[in-house]
Amino acid sequence: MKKVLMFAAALTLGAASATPFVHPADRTVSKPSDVKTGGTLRMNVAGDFDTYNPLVAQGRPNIPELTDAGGLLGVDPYTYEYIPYMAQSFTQSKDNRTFTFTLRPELKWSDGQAITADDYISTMKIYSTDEEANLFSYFTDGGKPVTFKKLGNLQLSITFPRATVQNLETISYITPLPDHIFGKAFGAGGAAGVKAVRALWGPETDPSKLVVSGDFKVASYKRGERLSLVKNPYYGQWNKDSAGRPVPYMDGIQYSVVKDLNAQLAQFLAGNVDLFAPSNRDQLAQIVAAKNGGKLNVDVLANAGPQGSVDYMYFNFNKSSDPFKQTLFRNPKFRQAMSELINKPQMIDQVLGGLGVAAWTSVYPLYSEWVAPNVDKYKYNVADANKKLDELGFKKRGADGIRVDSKGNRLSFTLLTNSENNRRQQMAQIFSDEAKKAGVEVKTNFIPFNQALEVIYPTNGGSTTDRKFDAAITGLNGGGFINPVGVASIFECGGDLNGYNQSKQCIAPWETQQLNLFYKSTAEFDQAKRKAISNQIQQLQVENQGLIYLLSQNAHYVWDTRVQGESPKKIATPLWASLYFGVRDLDLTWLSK
Amino acid sequence: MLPFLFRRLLQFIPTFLISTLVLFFVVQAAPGDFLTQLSQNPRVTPEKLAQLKINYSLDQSEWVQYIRWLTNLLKGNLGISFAANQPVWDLVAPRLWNSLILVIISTVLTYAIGLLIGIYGALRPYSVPDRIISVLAYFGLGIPSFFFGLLVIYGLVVLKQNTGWDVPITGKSSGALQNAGFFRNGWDVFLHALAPSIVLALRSISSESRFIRGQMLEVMGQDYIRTARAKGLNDSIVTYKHAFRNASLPLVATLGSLLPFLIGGAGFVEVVFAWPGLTPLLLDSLGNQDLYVIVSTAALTSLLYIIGNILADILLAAVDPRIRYS
Repeated sequence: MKKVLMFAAALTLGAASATPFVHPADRTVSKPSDVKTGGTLRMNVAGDFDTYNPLVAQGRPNIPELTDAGGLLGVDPYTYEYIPYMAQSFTQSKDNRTFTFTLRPELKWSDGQAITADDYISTMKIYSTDEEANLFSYFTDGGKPVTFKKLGNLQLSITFPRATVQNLETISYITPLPDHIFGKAFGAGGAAGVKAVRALWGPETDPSKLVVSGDFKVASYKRGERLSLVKNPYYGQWNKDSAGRPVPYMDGIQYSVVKDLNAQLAQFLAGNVDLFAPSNRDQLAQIVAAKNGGKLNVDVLANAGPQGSVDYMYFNFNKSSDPFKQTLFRNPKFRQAMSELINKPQMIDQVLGGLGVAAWTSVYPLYSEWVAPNVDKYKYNVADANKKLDELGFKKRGADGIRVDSKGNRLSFTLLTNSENNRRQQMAQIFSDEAKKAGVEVKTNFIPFNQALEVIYPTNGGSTTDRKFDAAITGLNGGGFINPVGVASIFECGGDLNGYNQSKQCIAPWETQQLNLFYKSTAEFDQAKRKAISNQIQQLQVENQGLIYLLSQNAHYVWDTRVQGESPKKIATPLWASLYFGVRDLDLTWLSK
Repeated sequence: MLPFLFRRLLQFIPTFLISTLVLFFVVQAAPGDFLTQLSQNPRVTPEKLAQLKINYSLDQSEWVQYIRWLTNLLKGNLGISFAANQPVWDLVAPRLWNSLILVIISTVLTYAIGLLIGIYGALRPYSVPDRIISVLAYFGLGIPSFFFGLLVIYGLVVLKQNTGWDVPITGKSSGALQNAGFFRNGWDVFLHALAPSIVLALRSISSESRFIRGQMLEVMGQDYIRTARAKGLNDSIVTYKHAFRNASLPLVATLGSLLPFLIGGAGFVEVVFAWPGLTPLLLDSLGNQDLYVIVSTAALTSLLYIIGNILADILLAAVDPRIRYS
């Protein structure tokens, strides 16, 4: 009897310390009692997957990201706060540089082994050694390394060289790799260790040998045809819904490889695919027509908000072989005039079918609360553009109507963009037409993306002080909500994403000012103050038009009505939507038939 | 026969070298290379990029790269795909097989239907059915196959929406079918292959039927046909043994080019129908400048071309007793 009592006591103790992650009820419109379990979600994917190895995976979506659980931290979409996810709890040191985590004791890999501090430590060792890893650059700041320590079987700490607002974001990106596979292969580390871990899990690997943390794991993959994922039963041991039931609800996900976008749309219209994200008005219209005609049972969420992406135009400051153009392109007044020749309302109307918004600064229109006031100072205004061009000395016009200066230089340049992108080509054309009316000749040149990159960001021995283009349109997506004003590589002179100035030398004072303000903003923990700095940065951008921002497209989401459990309206926006599954938490998604 | 085949093989060598050389240099002539996209990646340092260039031999001159590729090819090694990090052959072999499925079905359709229509048209020239078939043939020749493919997909979607029938629309197999037997899977693949094969065949049916009709009309007017009829031979022997056998000679001669042409020709139909054939792979490879996938596949295609031509020569000798290779 005593033994039984002891056993019962042990059970209660065990239950008391059990702390699975509970997906809050406010993340889905479904009540736990309505939910049905089982079924397979049917998806399309545009290209093949390259590898099972998280360190090597390049394309998106990639298999590792579809099969990993996430990081120590997650985000609460209602409060914008980081909350413990794989961690059960965490504390932050007074100087904001050290974070200490306690892991949930129930965490398990898909092979049943426990996920412990060792997994995190060896993962971080690998990420901080492998220069090519996604997260490598996150493990240094200003040349100093991020350090980490195991404090116990389930305890660890991470210390950053500098206190910045992005540190929690960085931690949320660190997804663990199994120590008993990756840590073992990494061994003593160094170049040999990196080589060994990068050689793991190549495309020929038997999927049953893979060990993952996520809600689904690979069952089979046939190149060019289909990837099948099945539920990882161990995930449900530490992930529960608000009623305490294990998630995910679904049994699996199937990805069919369909390269052509028309064929993808056809599959959705035929009811063979469950989720789709229409990228233009035409696609949206076809889906709505099929729905209204009673041919298709789908839910449509149109214009859910602007996407977290933007297109922009810029002029080449590094053109030493053509002093006339270099001087012109470096003149902010010229760039202001060009900004005034961009008819954004017309672009939105004609290129996006009205389903988009104008962008003005490095803050995506998606983060509307962060966009500074009066950013549209140099909006479409042909009269003012003409005045500015006169002041720049281009008063006369040639026989062809193109402006010339006193030395006979014609005001003419070539605008480059990538040939795969119809949207950018159409915007280039609209700008060219408008510019012509103001006496500016804009020739357009559309070349493949890879080749455009080589011209804009020369690597193969090309000079960064004499780049072979005049102006270009490219774009950007991604980034975080913590500091939406941008990332360092856009602001640094010669930074990887800086299109106007690729030389390491800053040319105008505003470039240095902007970069310093950005550094200041990352170290500012007070949101209101951070926003004020962000406004200063945006004012500099508006006055100088280094990148001349064009527009963001609106996001639309459609899904078969059999797919249930989407996010409540308040958080059903592109900001919180999953890149692949739309406005829903995959774990809380269920199928009604 | 053997010396002839040997001569043909010798002729193949310069053709092969020149075609691969041109291709190799054209692909390399575009600015940038496979690593250009990595240079955009802030986490790839210039040193790492230089290292990768050496690993992939992209730092060497094009001539060195070409000769290295060629010697590897002769040893049966097609090289490595940079993008998939796999040997090119592992990547290409299943795709080649998939493309062949479409090619085989559409070739069977082409000859089965094309010949029948052509002969029918020749036997009843300028009759109403012949005129209708002619109009349809011109339509089939005029419409680009990728566009026709899109129309067919649209038709299938409408069919499915209105009837609820489970018609395959794109892809090679049904996702719902799991662990089915060999025959069940084969039948599923066949159903999926049907629509793209018909689209592929439409064009060749149109051209082959016009071709055989013209040939037959010409042969039917020859003296020996009249002689055959005068001898009192029955119609079907005259038509099929005397006329068709002679009319089909040019058709057999073009069979050789069919093999490589159809693999290349499956082309955009594969993209439109999401069929995992060779063309979607080649398009991706062209886009990210995955050098060895492009040149090795092209080398394979020219190899198929020469094999096809030799086969056609042998077939021609079998069909036409007047032709002997010596």
